[in-house]
Amino acid sequence: MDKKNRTLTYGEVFEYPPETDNIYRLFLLAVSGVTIIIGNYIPSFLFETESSPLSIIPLTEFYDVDKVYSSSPDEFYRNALLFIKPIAIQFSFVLIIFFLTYYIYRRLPAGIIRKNRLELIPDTDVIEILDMLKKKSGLTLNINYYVNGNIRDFSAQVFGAGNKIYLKAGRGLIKIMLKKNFDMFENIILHEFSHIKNKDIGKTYFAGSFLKTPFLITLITASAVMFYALIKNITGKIISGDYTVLSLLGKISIYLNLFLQIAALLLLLFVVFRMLIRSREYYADLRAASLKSPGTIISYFKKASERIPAKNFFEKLYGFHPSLKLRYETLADPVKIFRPSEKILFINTLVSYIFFAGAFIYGLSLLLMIFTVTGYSMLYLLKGFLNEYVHLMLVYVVLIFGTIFMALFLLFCGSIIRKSFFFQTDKIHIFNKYSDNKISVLPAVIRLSLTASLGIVCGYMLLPLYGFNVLHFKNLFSVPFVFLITFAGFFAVNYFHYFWMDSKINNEYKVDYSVPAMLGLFEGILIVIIFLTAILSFQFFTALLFS
Amino acid sequence: MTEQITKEISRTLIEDISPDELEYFDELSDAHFKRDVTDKDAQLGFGFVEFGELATPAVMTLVSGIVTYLLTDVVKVAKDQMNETIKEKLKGFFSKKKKLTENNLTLSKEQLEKITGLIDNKLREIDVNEKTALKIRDSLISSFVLGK
Repeated sequence: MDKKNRTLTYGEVFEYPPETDNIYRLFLLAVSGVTIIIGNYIPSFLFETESSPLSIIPLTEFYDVDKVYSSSPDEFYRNALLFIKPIAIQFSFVLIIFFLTYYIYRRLPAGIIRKNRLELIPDTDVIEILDMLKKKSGLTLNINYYVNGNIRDFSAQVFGAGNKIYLKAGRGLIKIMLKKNFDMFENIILHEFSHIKNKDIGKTYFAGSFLKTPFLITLITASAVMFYALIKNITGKIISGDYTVLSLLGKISIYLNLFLQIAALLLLLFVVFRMLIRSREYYADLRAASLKSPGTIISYFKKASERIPAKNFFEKLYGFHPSLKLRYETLADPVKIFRPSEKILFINTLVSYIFFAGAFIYGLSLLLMIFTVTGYSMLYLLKGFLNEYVHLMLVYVVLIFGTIFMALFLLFCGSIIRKSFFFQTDKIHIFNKYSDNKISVLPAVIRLSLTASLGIVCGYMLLPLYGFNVLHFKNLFSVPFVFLITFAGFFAVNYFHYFWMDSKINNEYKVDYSVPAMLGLFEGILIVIIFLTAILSFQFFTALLFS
Repeated sequence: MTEQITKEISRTLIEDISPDELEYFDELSDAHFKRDVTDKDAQLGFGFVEFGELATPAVMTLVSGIVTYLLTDVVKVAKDQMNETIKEKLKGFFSKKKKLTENNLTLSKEQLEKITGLIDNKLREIDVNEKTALKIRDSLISSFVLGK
């Protein structure tokens, strides 16, 4: 039956899970992954190993995991210190970064107050009005109201850490706009309180600190260590007379390649972070509109968007706010927030790939090392007390637990990636449910699957693993292979998901909760398999064609 | 000196255009000269807000532009050479109650057109709504024409 769709109300937007929550989880996981990857560069470049092309201290060759397998318990204990040292440095570095992140996050509000020279709002009448609007927003928590000294600032901002929440109002906003245009004042404050109601403060400020610390500290430290290793390597070769121009250029290119890789990874995460914040602005606008008729604000956005020049590409990429035109369009027709976005899916998949590659490689390596060390230790300690059969069984037990742990970890990753991945498909349903401009399903699913595959391909090129080198022309042949195999996989799972959800289209559709656990598990496993296939593609490809 | 004269002329105009803004005129004009930068794109902020109902910032920008033009193209003196006589001439130029004395600034038709053009261009650039812009434009242009 062809029935006319009813309009999506502002309040109904919040009945669906906001996709930014998924992006936020993914972002935190990806930043952790990148931090571990880059953290690993530090010991790799400090200590000479077979896998590190440059090094500072020729300390040990025992860092390679493979060698742990092929050495006897006696040899292992002789080299235990050398074995543990690089790992300890690597993970200490990562731990320091995480602690610093938390410290920076907690200190953030004090920094903002100091930097902007904010003062507590002294006027009790203004405080009463703000309290009244706080109540209207459904907030009961304590908010500290601050004002800056700029009479030409008519904007406001919320910030905070933990349960300490602050509102910063421009002096112009409370001194002039409050009296001259209360309607606009109310809209601005309700928008800010909506950020609090939408729980944006904790998410975005923590994510920001989480990104900035690895961005600044890791980039600087890793680059400095790598650069020192490069200089030491080059000067060593020059002094010994064992060098050619080509070999020097080779070393420099290794350094630049890694440096660019680190910078590109962090810049990408920076773009994702800004995208995350921009998306929260739509939700704040919509929440405020559900509390107060948005006529004034729609009219303001419309007029201002006609007058203020459009943002350039970089402003759009790095800005904290979407363009006024997009804000106006979303407020005028809230269903637009549920239009499937290839751009978001592309970035999501790319970030997922980076996280997955990092988690898979370093998580697996770490687990492998821990369980191997445990296995060896058990064998060594119980040697002579138990027979060899029992020793072997104990090692198997350790390895089985390790595998189960790793599988659970991958399922956890699969669950997070699944939610962010399928939300674009879910949006087709939500959009078609409320909009008269229906989206054609097949082209939409093809477009989404194509962009998801492109995201994987970009990740594959950006974070090459298992001997893949973008500079080797032959290796590039594996890229179309990755693209085709992931596209086929994504198309199949997307279509399956769409039709599963289609059966519920007339029910009250709740994206996350209406999916049965077994289906979620199934889809999560499929997604993990597609990502693993992409990560391991180079090996498959070379085994297939060049072996 | 130029800042002072711009402020004085602007205050006279605001008395006529939007007298309720006199309450915070000093703060607004000081902010104009200090060029206080508003954080246009703060994290979890509302975004940059233009408050087009406010006439003072627009008047300050326009008067500042016109004074600079008059000094360089009409009176032809450097800003640091401005004296009381020139100051009076400039103030007289913006006054609706002009006295016809030999001290008056007289503009050619082209110069007057140039100033009108300058006003229109600036009004398009700056943050002011249509109603306020029209009010400011009328007030400024009538002040030049009256008494001529």
